[in-house]
Amino acid sequence: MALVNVVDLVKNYRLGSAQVPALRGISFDIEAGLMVSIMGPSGSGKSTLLHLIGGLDAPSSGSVVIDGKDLSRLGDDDLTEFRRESLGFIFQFFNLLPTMTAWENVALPRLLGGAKLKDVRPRAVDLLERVGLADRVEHKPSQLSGGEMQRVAIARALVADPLLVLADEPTGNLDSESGQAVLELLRLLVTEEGCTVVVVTHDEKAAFMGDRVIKLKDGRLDE
Amino acid sequence: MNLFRLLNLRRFNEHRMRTALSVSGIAIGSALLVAVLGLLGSLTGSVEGFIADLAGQSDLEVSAISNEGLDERTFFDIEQMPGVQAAVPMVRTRAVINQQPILFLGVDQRVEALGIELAEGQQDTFLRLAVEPGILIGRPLADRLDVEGGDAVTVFSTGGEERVPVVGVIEGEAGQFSEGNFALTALPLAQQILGKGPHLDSIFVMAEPSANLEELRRQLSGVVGVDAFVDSPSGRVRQAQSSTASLRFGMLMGVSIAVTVGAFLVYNTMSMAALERRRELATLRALGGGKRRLLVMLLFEAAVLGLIGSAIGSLAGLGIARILVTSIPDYYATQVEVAVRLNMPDYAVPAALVVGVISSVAAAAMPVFAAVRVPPAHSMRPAGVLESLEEVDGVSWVPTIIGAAILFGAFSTAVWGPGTLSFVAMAGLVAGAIVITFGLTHPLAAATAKFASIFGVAGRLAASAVQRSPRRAWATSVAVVAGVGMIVTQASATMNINTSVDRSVNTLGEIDLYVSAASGVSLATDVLLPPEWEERLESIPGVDNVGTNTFQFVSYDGQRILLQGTSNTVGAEPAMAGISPEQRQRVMQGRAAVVSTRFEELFGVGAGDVLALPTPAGERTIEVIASEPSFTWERGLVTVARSHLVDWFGAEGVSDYQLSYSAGADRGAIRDEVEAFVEDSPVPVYLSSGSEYLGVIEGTVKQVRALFDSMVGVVVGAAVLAIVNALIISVIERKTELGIMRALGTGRRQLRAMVALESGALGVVGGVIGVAFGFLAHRAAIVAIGHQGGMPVEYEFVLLPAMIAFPLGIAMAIVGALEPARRAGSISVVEAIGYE
Repeated sequence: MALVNVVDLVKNYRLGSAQVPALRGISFDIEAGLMVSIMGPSGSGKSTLLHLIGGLDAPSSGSVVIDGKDLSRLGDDDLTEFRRESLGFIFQFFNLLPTMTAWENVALPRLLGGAKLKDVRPRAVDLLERVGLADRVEHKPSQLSGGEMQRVAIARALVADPLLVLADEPTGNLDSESGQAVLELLRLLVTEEGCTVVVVTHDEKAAFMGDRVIKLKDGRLDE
Repeated sequence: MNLFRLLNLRRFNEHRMRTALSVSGIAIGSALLVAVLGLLGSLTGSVEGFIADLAGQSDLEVSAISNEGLDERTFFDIEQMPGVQAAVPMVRTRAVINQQPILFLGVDQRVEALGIELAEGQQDTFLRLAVEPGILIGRPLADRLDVEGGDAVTVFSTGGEERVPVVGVIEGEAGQFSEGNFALTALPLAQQILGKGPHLDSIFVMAEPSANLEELRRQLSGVVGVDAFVDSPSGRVRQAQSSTASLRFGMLMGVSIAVTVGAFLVYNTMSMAALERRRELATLRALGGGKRRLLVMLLFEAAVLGLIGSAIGSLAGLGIARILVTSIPDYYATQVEVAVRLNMPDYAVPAALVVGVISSVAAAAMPVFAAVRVPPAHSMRPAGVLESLEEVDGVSWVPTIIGAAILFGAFSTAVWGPGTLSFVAMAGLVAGAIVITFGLTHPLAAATAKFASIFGVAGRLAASAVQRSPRRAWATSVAVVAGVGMIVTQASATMNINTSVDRSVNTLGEIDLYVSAASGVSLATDVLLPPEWEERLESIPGVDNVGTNTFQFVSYDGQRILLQGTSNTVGAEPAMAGISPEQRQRVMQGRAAVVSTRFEELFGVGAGDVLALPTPAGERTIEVIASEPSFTWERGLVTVARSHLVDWFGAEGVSDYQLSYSAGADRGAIRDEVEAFVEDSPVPVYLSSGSEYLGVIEGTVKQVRALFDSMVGVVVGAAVLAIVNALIISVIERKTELGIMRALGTGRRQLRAMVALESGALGVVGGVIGVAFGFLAHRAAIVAIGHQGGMPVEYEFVLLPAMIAFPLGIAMAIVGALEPARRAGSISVVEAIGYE
């Protein structure tokens, strides 16, 4: 059984009085333990698709089912809990909180779930060591490079042992060397940890590091 | 708590200036609240303390309606009444010992029943006083007079002058009663020294535990008739409160407005912070942060800011209260009739903390609710595009209508509602103006942008900034509205008060020389000048006329009013200046009375009515021929012939003599002669020319004004903070955008000019609204002052304050923009564009 089922997904945005279609009814499945790249030019709907898979936005019609849970049937509180417990997010702009140290940022999803700081610290430090930031545990984002920040974000995405990691242009804000290192880290997560990773990118080189590439064009699958 | 520490507390630490700005509004409001509660608490607390020290455990007090006192036979009737457990007779009046004003008390051994410090363990002393006539004085007074037991002092009172031995000095806590300014003696001796005859000033009554107090009060009133009134001892506290109503009203109005402006500052900060933290909140939502958790966290942040602000403000308020109490205008100190010392109510600081926290949370609620509704998908947006163009769609009708309703309701309450709600109504006017301008945000932003775009490129950039973020524009302009509005209101009201005071008292300047038993501010009612001085003063060469006035407090309809007896005066007093010479003659001949407009308002007795005045000689009626404005006494003034005071109340003494000179008289020589004549007076005598006398009154008005001006200063300061706050946050929030503008070739000077122009244009629009609001609030304030203080202030439209406040508002906005403009100009392009 596939981990993710996307069924006839439609998303329209309202711009003034006009309806602008972003996704025009797409369907696909994602098997567990794969790294899947979603690729397409600007405006193709790839970010919208990631928002819908991540439960950050609601579809106009169709459904996203993850691990048997239809996200469109979950209320706001359940969806919030699902994101916290089952999904990991990696953002293009890292979205680290500037007042927190690296390990505190990593611990954040667990803290949002009510865990105590001291209980989460060993796990957060362990994850930072795994992404090669053992010496940056107590550093704040302003003291880290772009590549380091993104590695903190990856560690944060893993802190809750999620079913699915969603990465939005994870290399989009990095130099090529750092970008490559991040992609290799993501690849490692899949091969060594058995994680399922969905990466949205417009970078072909990045896309083809995945096990599967889903191409989008004008809100439709371009396969 | 973990999250709060990591996110919010660290944020406070990292953004110290912003945190300081956020707490400053609440701190200002809380400081004022504590200071004003301290001031008002000191006024009533001093009276309460005095009453508690004197009345002890008594349940009711029977007070004579005038200085004449009530027949002591009444005491024996009261003592025998069912329901009365104990009754304590007392003589209490003002007297002077060696030029030192004191409270002179006459008691007997029954005073022990009151359980007061003064009487504790004094049984032997009272027995001694019965056989060894003399007085006891407090240690502070003994030190001031440099006398000890065995010495003799001269007591001057309504009963004349008498040499009395001091039989002892009361030490310790008991000696501190009434700041130590008292003398105590046996009742018969007090009656003799004070010339009271068989009369008492007060009878304190302790009821049987089973007695119904209200019933007992009615029965006592029946027994004493018109000679006295019966009230609980705390009735004097109520009277003190009513005496200082105008001060209380003005102060609480200032506090209400300052707290409203402070809460607005929090709203402003939280709105801007919510916008700025939109991305952070969206990230927290995306990572699984529930709305409720974020809501609680942000409201808790507001509560902590409120708590910090109110704690800092309370500390400052304690210091300010100390200063305020020492600068209470003499006018009010006279009204409460006891020495005022700092008496901070226990509830002042807790109240300020609660008000600070609640107003902070309430002000933050709206922006916080909006902030946590941020779609989690916004976390994916790149930085720098979060501030989107708000759709300009004209008037938002709901807040406009609600604001108009609040404004109308507040104005109506201030003008036609009960006086007790006046200060709330004035704060309501401010709240109404804030809400109505919120509804008009878009038209106001459009107007501001249009105005700004006149000023070249920088102006057009400023216009664009205003149009893109109308809410920020609103927040800045509302701060200007509050500042300008307050200045217009306060300055216009002050000008009206000054004009009315001038009209009311300027005739006092026509008198050549006042010889008074009290300064121009306080009134001599107990210790008076000898009536025989009139003849002596008239005999001084060059003196053409000697008028006399005697003042006395009497009870009328349960309230303490001021009675003025006048004879042979030239009509300089406010009460007599506005009536015709014929009417004046009728008053001085004893055929008519003049009442103050306040008296007419309070008791409904005015021109054409017959006033029935309870006197020790029985009820006396007199026709009222006029109702005249007078600033003399908050609870009403009645002017009659002085002969009536002598006949009805036995008040022989004179409060002040008014000398008018013949043409060409040697003014210096007359004054020298008067000075020589009064030199040996046992009571303090104050000499002042008409202009000196007016100067004292003007000084009092200035003292009161200074208090209220300082309030306005605080509000204007808070408004400037609000402007700085809004603009600094706008610069931080637009850092990327400003960086891009710099990258595209906008010069530092242009950026600075843009921020200054944006603020200046908002200052113009805010200034126009502030002036309009000020006109409205001025109208309401004048009526409210009339309601509260009984000051007969006439409303007159004045333009000058608006002409000053309007440019001041623009200047305020530009000054507020200096630091934000500097920051905008010093933005590093690389840092701004890469800003995360």
